[in-house]
Formats: sequence, C-alpha cells, structure tokens
Amino acid sequence: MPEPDVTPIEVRESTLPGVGKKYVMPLATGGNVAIVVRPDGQRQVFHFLPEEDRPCDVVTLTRDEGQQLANLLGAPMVASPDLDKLELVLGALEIEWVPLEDDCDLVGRTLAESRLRRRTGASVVAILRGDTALPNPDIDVTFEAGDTLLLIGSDEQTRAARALIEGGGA
Amino acid sequence: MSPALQLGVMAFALYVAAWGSQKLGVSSIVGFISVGVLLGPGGVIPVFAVTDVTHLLAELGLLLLLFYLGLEFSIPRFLEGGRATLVAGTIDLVHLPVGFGLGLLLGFGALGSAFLAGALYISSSGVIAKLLAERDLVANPEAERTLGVLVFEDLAMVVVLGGLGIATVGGDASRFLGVGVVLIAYVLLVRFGRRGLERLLSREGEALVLLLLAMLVLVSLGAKSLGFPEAVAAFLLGMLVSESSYRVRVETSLASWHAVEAAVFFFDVGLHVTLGSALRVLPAALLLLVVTMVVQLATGFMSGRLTGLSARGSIGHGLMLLPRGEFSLVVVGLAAGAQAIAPDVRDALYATVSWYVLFTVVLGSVVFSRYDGWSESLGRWLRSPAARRREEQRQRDLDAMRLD
Repeated sequence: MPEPDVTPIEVRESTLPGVGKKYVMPLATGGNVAIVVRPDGQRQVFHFLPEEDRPCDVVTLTRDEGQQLANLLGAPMVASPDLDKLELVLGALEIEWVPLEDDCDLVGRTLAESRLRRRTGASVVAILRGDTALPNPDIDVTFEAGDTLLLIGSDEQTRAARALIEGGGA
Repeated sequence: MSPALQLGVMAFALYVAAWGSQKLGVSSIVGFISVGVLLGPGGVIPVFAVTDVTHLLAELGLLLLLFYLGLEFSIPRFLEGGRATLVAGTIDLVHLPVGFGLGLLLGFGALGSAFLAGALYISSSGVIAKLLAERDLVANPEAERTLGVLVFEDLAMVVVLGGLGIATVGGDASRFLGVGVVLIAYVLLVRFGRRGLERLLSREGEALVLLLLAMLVLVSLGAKSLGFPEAVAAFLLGMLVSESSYRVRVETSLASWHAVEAAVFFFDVGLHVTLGSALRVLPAALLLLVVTMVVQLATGFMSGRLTGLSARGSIGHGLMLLPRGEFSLVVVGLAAGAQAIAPDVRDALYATVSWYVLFTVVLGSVVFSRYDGWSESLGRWLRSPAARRREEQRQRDLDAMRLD
C-alpha cells in the first residue's frame, strides 16, 4: 500500500562558519531536533526539549551510520550539495552536474539553441530546477538562472561542456 | 643540527605537545606555544633557536592560518547572520577603546596602544570553533551567535590591521599608493576575476596543492612589497576562494599543510618569548586577562539579551568568546616590525600579548570543559526578577502536581 503523502515541515537552515551546516526542525511534541552536518560527512543529531535552549541528548554519526539511519527512517538521504563529490565515473562514462550562473549566456536560451551536444558531444539528460527535476528535457525547454544541468558523455565531452558553460556559454 | 634534523626534532616536540594537550583537554595552541617557550632560546632547556627553518615555516603558517580564516569567515557568512550578528558584533567593538585605554595605562604609547586594542579585541575563531565542535555545543543557539560575532570580528580586523599597517609606515606617500593599488586590484579581481579563478581552481590532485601554495605565497608577498600587511592579503585571498565552487576541495587539499605550519607558527611565537620576560610582563598580562573577562562577559551578556537569547545562553555567549589566538599574535607580530614604536615597547607588547593569549586559551579550555554547569548557574543568577518568579511558580506547580 502506498504511503500517504507527507506534508513537508519547515526546516530552518543556517551556516556555522568553521563547523558546518545546521538544520533545525520543530517537533509536533514540542521542542525540536537540530542536525549539524560537518564537511567530512559526520552528522550530529541534537534533541531539544520544549522551552529548553540546551540539548538534552546528542547522537554523533559517521557518514555511513547517518546513511544507514536515514534508510531505517524510510528515505534515502539527500546527498550533501557538494558538487565536487557528485562526479560519477563509470568506466569511460561521466555524469556531471553543472550549475548555470546568473550571467551565463545560456540562460534564456532553449536547449536546441544552445547546440550543446553538437558543440561538445555531451547530452543534457536532466535539468534540476529548484526542488524539481526535468528528466529528458525537450529541445525547446528554456534554461533559467539557477538551473543545474545533468550532463552525460565521455570524460572529454563533459569537460568541454563544463568549460563552455562556465565560460559563459557563448 | 642540520636543517633536516631540526625539522625532525621539532616535529617530534610538536607531536608531544599536541598529544599532551589532547590528554589534558586544552587547546593544542597551549602546547605549541609552551614547547616554544620551554625549549626555546630563553627557556629551561634551550634545544631550539630561531633559525631559517622555523622562520620559513612560521611565515607560511601565518599565511595559511589567515587563508583558512578567510575561507570560513567571509562576507556571505556575515550577511547570513543578519541583524542579530550586526547588533552583537557592534556591542563587541567596545573592546577596542578599552584595549586602547589599557595600552596607555601600561605605557605603550598611542601607536602601541592601538596595536594592543586590536590584540585584545579579537577572539580566536580557530580555537573557539574547534572547542565548540569538540564539546558538542554547536547546536546551542548561543553558538550560532558566537560564530556570527567571530565572522564580524575577523572582517573588522581586516580593516583594523589595514589601518595599523598604514599607521606604522607613517606619511610615506608611495606606501599609501601601494596599499591603494592592492585594494583596487582586489576589487577588480572580485568583480571580474571569478570565472578565471574558477577555471584555475578546477585543477586536481597535486596540481591544485602546488597552485594554491604558489598563489598564497606570491600574492601575499607581492602585497607585502607594496606595503600591505601580508596576513590581510592572505585572508582576502581566502575570502575570494571561499566564493568559488571549489571551496571544500581547496580546504581538504591544503589541510595537512595547514595543520603543520599552524603548529610551527605558534611554536615560533613561543621561541620569541623568554621565561625571564614572564616575570616582568606577568602583571600586565594578568590585568589584560581580568579586564577581558569582565568586558567580554558584560558585552556578551548584553548582546545576547538584546538578540533574544536566554539569560543562560547570553552569559554562555560571553564565555564562549573568551579565547584569544592567532589574530592577536598577528597584530603584535606586525607591531614587532613597526619602526615607529620604540624597541622596548615592541618587546614588552609582544611578550605581554603572547602570555595573555596563552592565559585566555587555557581559561577558554577550562570554561568549555565546564560550560554547561557554569552557564547554567551564572544564567540563573543573572536572569531578570520576572523570569525568576516565573521559574519559581513553575517549580511550585510541578511540586503541586506531584503531591496530587
């Protein structure tokens, strides 16, 4: 039986300079849960009781333990937004995530107009836009600032595409 | 000793210092400076001298320390802190006039006092961020405020150091020009150089490490030759790199260099301090410590209360900000090279601030290890009468429920 739709709970996100990222989620029972993510993948889960500004308990998890706990809680953990690490090498095949900067010339143009595959050999297999993904985008999809392109191709092809996009896309 | 042997013996001594500090539960900075003092030219067993080896590594250490600070404590981080950081950071600026007044009282003269003000003002981002993480205090609301103030302080310090740098060279117009050139070059780089930098930083493996090292040293020394403090140049470079998409990779690829060189930087500070000087400057260093405790706790409490922290969190915010460190030592390092200050004042300033830093870091380590208890009891003592009545009422209600 499919699970009922979940209502997303608002999570407050903040950066702790020199430490990592902090995410605070209020609980229905009062109090809240704070999760601190370090650059090395370590995660700490803090439990705050209602009306308290000191945690009553903390659990420290390695990257693997965090992943396992996320699985147990019923959802694959969203990978940290570390673009460097999102590089997947499967033999000669490269999958690359390339964000579009505001000042990139591709913004406002369609996939067809960009002629990205003809010029570099790499294909755009998906566009990540905000919380949504457009898999197998049509050739008349228009690029927007803040999009992240999911490219597939050989090492050279994706590299050329990345250079083209980061170089402004002209 | 041959240079290689020196390096080996020094690495071993610093290893013992780092390990011992971990065992004692104090920040490793305490270990590094102490080893430098005890085994340096003015120490108990003079094993080490100030040589080209220590000098080179310490200079690199200074640049790497400041580069890393720039990577973490940058303008976007500051903007994220919003109004609360602005309020807390502004109140915290009170340390500057207090430090200046203390300097005059201790006879450091106007310029020497300006340097002391900088050294007393700036809390150690490195020490505090590490202690917060080790003691599992990072999720407390006051930790976020504390880290925000540290970003504010580091950015303010760039301005203060720049000003002090100009003040020390006096009215030499060509130097003014040099500083102007560096600043304009930086602004142009921030405005137009992003894409080029992004492409440069996409190098991988050893190429990236070597590129970063070359960039850091050449840019800082280039700025220095134009009369701009090299420490500030390294910080600005770190800030520039922090906005690229390769920040994490840069951080990890230089990590072991950073660890080694930073250790030698603090060790080198110890080498320049003699045990004999301790007796002379001890009263001054202790005075600075006491004043810092009073002012830091008062300003911390006040800004915490003004930005919505509890009484416990507010006094905790003050407690967290106590340790001084790398930036204070950079300030007196700069003063040590300033011809406009009398040599005896320079020496006294250097020794006083070195001991002061050591004391604050030891104090900070103790405070952090007893943090929960201390912030709790101080907070209970400091909360408003209304809050106290509410708390007592709540306690009575709880007791009544139990009786039922």
